[in-house]
Amino acid sequence: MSLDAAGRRVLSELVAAGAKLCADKLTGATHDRWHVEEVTLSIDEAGPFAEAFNSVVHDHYGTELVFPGGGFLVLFSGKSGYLVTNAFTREIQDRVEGLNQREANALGELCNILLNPMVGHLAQAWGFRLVVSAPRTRISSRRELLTESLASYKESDALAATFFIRLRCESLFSDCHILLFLERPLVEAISRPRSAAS
Amino acid sequence: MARILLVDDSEITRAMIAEFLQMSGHQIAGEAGTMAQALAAYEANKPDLVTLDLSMGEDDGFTVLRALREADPKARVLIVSANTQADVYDELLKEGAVGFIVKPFTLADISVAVAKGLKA
Repeated sequence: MSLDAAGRRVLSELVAAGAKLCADKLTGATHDRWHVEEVTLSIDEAGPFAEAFNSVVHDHYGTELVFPGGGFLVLFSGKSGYLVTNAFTREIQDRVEGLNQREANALGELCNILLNPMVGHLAQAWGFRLVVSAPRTRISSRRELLTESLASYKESDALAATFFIRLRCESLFSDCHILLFLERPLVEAISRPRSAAS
Repeated sequence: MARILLVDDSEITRAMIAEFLQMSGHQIAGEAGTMAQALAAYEANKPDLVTLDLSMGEDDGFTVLRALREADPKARVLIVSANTQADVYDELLKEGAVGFIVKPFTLADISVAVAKGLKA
């Protein structure tokens, strides 16, 4: 089942509002103002942004969180990951200075923090609880990270919609890219009227 | 001053909570990253309060909360979470949680939540 134009508009507005909540949480966690630069919906495949990902080969921090019916992949470049980690941990710099995989550890936790308001927002709109996995952070090229995330959906031909969200913080010279993957059963469930779905 | 056990699979979060608790004059009664470690540390240290992450890697926070309360029905457990779904918090209260610390948190958030938790 594909989303019709009205369904795409409703879903896009919902995710855009969720993206704003993510930016606000990042602002609170890093003490620097983040804003939403872009929210793009692609139906059925990862779309034009997947193409763009091929052009960047240096390593990124990629954090995955999954939920029944979908998942997130959050990407920070090496530079952004370092700067954002410093901002997030500024009150405990001495304690975490020598921590093994400091950035990966911090960014995993940060992704958990920034995505939960989006998850809560979607859950409230859809009328059911969404339980999200613990974050899992890897370091690889953007292309590899995206390919690996997409693989689980492509195997079962389950991917119905993908959102690309770009958050920006000028004072930290940093970007945060969020991919939201939605599988067909979930899209079907949320496309039904609430009374029919429950 | 209270003795507090920190249960969280994230070292970063444990470090943040420990820093703020010590700044508030409390003592860290141990740290744990898994349910097994949490139960062992609770048994060994008998803390006044536990801070428990809701979303741990292998162990669901609900399960850890139940296990701690089974081990000691008087265990005071504060849930630490970024979750924003109200029904989750309602369920945690029914399971015996004494309060919540919402991520990201400040020194004031921690101080207030711990003070309330210790009175529960």
